[in-house]
Amino acid sequence: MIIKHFFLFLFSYWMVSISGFINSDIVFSQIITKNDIENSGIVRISEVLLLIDDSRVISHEGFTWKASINGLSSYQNQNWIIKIDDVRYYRNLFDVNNLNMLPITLFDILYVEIFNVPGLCNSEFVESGMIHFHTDRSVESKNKYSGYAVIGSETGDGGPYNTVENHSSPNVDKTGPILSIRNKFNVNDFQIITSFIGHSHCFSDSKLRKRNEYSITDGETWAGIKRISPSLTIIKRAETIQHELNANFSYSDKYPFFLESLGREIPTYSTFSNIGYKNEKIISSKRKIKSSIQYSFNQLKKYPNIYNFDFDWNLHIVTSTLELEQQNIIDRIGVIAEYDKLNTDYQLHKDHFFLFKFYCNSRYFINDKFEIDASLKIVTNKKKYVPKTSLSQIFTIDNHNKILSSISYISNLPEENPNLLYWSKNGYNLLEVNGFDYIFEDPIQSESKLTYDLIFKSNYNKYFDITLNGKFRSFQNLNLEKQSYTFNNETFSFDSPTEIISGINGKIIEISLRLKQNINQNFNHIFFFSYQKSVKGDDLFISNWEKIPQNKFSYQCNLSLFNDIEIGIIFNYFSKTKWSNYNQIEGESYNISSQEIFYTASLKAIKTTNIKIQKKFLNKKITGSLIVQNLFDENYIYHPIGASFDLAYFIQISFDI
Amino acid sequence: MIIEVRMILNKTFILFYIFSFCSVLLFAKTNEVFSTIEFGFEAGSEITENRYHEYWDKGISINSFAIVPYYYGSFELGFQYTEYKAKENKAKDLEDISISLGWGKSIPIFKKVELYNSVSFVNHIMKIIYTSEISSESEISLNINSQVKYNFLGNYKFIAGIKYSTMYTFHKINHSFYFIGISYSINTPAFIKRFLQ
Repeated sequence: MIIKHFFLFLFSYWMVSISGFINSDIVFSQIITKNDIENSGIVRISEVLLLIDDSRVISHEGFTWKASINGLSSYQNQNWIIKIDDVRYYRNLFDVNNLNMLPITLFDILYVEIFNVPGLCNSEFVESGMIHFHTDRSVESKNKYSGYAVIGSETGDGGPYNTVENHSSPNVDKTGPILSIRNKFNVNDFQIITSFIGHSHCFSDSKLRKRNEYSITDGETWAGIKRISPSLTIIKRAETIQHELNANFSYSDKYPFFLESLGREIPTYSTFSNIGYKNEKIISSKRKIKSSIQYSFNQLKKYPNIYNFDFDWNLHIVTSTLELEQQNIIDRIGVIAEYDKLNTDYQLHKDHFFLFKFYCNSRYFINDKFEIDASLKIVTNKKKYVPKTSLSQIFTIDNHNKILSSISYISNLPEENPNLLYWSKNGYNLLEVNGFDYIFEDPIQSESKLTYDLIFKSNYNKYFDITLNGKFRSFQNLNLEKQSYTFNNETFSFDSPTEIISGINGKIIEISLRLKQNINQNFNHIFFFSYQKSVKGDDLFISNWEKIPQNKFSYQCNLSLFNDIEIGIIFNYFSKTKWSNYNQIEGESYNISSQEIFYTASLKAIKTTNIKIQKKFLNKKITGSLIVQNLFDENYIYHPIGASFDLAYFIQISFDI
Repeated sequence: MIIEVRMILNKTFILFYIFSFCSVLLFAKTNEVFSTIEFGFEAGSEITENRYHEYWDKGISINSFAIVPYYYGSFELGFQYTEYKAKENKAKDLEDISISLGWGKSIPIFKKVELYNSVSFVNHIMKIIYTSEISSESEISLNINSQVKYNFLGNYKFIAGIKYSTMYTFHKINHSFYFIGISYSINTPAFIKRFLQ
């Protein structure tokens, strides 16, 4: 009842305040520039998650990552949005959003916008964060080639000791390579961009290799991931209209898909493809119409495995968007139609659904110091309507100081996060068929959350920026997985029935501080600290948030030297975490190079330092870099049964001609 | 406790080195940047023994390098070949070819004598020689190098030095070498200078 009244209040406030709106962009966002990426010592696109100020991350093999961005979701509900150049990419597969399957590399990125406060941004209502990659689409040169190659190795293998009895350990001669080539061709009004990416990722961790080599039955011993990704974009620019056609495809063979409910990886053939068309038409000096249609295809096919496990997953998604942008009462109004269809041999009760989404956004300047932004999105599956709404205010104290606040209420239909639970309810009994218990209540409840952010921003002078942030999140009716794993000696993996508990509630609070100092144009450094805690909630909610580090600390320093030499150092600290669903594996062990190493449900704090030294040659056309990740060789893991990461180094060469 | 203190000291040393390197570069300026290339050739052997030498004899090594001056100190590129004979039935023979990239600084001692200290990052390609086949391993190490150089004739220098290396394998491998050799300096050809700048 309180929530309904709150929503009515927000809606009426929004309706009253729309008169006198003018168009401009309010963003509660973080911008990660190409320079930030170049100096950070990251090599894979998924590692951009490590550069987001307020994100906590995990990866169990270094290729597939999960993130909790700004406390908007736990590691369950990975429904943060991915966009590249204003095109949405549907990469969510059983609650895994894999950035490494995108058709771009780090080198292609011009900048990344991170939206981490709920609200309407680029036609999407941001609920759990949005990562928007922008690539270089400039038209200065007629024909431009760029390429990128990175190769490296992770330390910690046996090396020459592999020839000595009882001293061998997983041998990783190389990590990568990641190879990419891109051509941008401009002729008349047309721009044609083609690219190709080849990427290998090798498992360096002993237990991970053992688990995967056991499950693969085609006689291969190499355990790792290989993927290719070609893409094509054609843009036609005219005076008042722009057309864009994009097509891309990512394919990975022997992708070891890790499903938490299974406690192990299952090798698969994984495919993501996108074909889309969009246009933007300027209809007057104050109005613009955007329309788009996108088709996405996500597939998981069977790869020979000892469990005979077959995902048989062929998901087709068609979305169509129509949006009006104007400098008027309502600055953005639009409608999205989405159709999802799952093709599989599992007997489904329902193999498709439709979603219709209506949204609008407005901004109102009360006076020159106070402005309000309001957004609303209504989503329906034709049976039920749910709202998503946000209200933000910016109060400008003076030229140097601002206070921003944002409040939002978001309710979700089960179709909006069509994960394993949703499709299992509709007959996709993947786990039951393969002998795993998967227990859930029927019907699935609609989840909702209430968020509040208060931000103080101060650019004390041109050398010094401070951002102080306080947040509150209240989650209602969550559907969370509950497991209690035991170790399976024969398969080197972990077994547990999975129970979905519905109606879980909980609240978290967080404070964060970001300081940036530009000492001079050649040297700047950034300090970030945040503390997050679940303050109230059901036991399952609290234990779920114990998997997310309470404290995060990061320090980044960028230094430019003579002759185009740049040095970047980044340090990240994530405090210890506790994984109560793995309590029963305490004391289980595995052997590596005659040493016994124990599994644990309590993970120690993670401290990583990356350093990158970069030199540009031939008028900046060629760049060579040396990257060292985990400089102090701290042995750390993100996940109780995940890989441990050691010191790794990479040589990176790129060209832009 | 002693190990923890040692680890903290190691980290402090690396950080101190990086920050000193970065900070001095902010203020240093010279017109000798990339002006010369010093080519060197050395030969030597391992000095001390440790756990590694329970399985292999002391290594015998040859080393070559090129050093170019930078705004502060010099950048160096090096190649080293080392052979390790395995102790009977305990391991396999090894050949190690490494390429290194580093930075160092010369300190004049007397008129013709200088002390050159450097730190370098090294990539090793190790050939493991089995009876019927050869396999390879790729590893990295961090080297600390100290050389005394005596300018005995024109652009020629006599070199005597020691090198300490830590290889980051599961069981870390430490090597300490002595080297004796000779170096020769030339003016950097214009096309190389243009490329580097």
